[in-house]
Amino acid sequence: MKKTIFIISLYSAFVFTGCATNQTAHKSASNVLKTNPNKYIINNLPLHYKVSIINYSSKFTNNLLHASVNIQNNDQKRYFLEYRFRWFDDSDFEVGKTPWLPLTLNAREFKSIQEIAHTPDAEKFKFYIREKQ
Amino acid sequence: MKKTLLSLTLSALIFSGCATSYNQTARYIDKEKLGTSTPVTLGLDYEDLERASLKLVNSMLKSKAFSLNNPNKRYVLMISDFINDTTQRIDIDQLIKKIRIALLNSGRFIITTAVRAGGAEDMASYQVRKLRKIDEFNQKTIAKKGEMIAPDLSLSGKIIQRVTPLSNKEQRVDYYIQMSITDLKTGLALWEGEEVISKAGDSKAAPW
Repeated sequence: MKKTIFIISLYSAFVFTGCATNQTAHKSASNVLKTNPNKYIINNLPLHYKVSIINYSSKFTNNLLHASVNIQNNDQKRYFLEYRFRWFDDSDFEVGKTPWLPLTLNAREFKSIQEIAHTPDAEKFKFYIREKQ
Repeated sequence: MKKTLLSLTLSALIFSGCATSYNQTARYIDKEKLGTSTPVTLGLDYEDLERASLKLVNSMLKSKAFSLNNPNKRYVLMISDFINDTTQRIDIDQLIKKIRIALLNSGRFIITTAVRAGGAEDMASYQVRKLRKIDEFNQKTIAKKGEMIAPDLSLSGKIIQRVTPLSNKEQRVDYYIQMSITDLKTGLALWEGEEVISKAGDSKAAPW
């Protein structure tokens, strides 16, 4: 939590964490995993109320954590954003991350962002989004 | 004495000048961002290759063609031909290495360096076999016959470049990065992917 807050303040962005918590069923191909709503975090930062995360989900595809985040632009203005995923193992050690990737959200546009972890050690993910820097 | 002092002072001035100018011109680049900064060239650069390889790897890892019932089994993949049909000199390994690392880390694939289109990538596997029957080597430590694993799959690809003049004294350059994974037993392509990178710039700028 401390780390999350630190990153939020650093990037002025939304941070959202998702977690594959179904320990018994995970690792089988394409099973949809439970999400933990307690770990959904939105901070009242510059993007808030303009761009929002509608929902998110995760599953294991080919033994790899596959995350999906649905995002909505609530504004009439086009936003040029950047997003990234960070992957964590069940001990909360970071085991991978994507670089910041570009995302353009047109007025009122809804988009689904998906990413797959490149290591089978990934059990949880955090999603970061910020205005283009 | 005066000459020595003078030469020392001059040397110090020259070297300090060099150091200053070097510090002013060189800097590290943030590699944590992909495709969000302004392109520096019409050619394929680091960010283009990194982003294309990331998208292609994601597509490979999501493919149902590579789901295995046995989680301990891995596909053995060989690197096949890559054709560079662009005006740029591209070291294909710049692109392939990122894909190989990601596939290896995924736990689904192992890359063989003993077989590659045009010859083995690492000749050491063959060199150590030449040590058989040489008394200086403990023969028990040398690979026996039939221990190498043949590849199940091959990864091949092509990079294509197309240049189109635009009406506003600019040109558009499109790069198509195409890849296929073929099942070597059947010859069937199990996965295919394409990433297109499009750039526009001054028509006088050379796309390389």
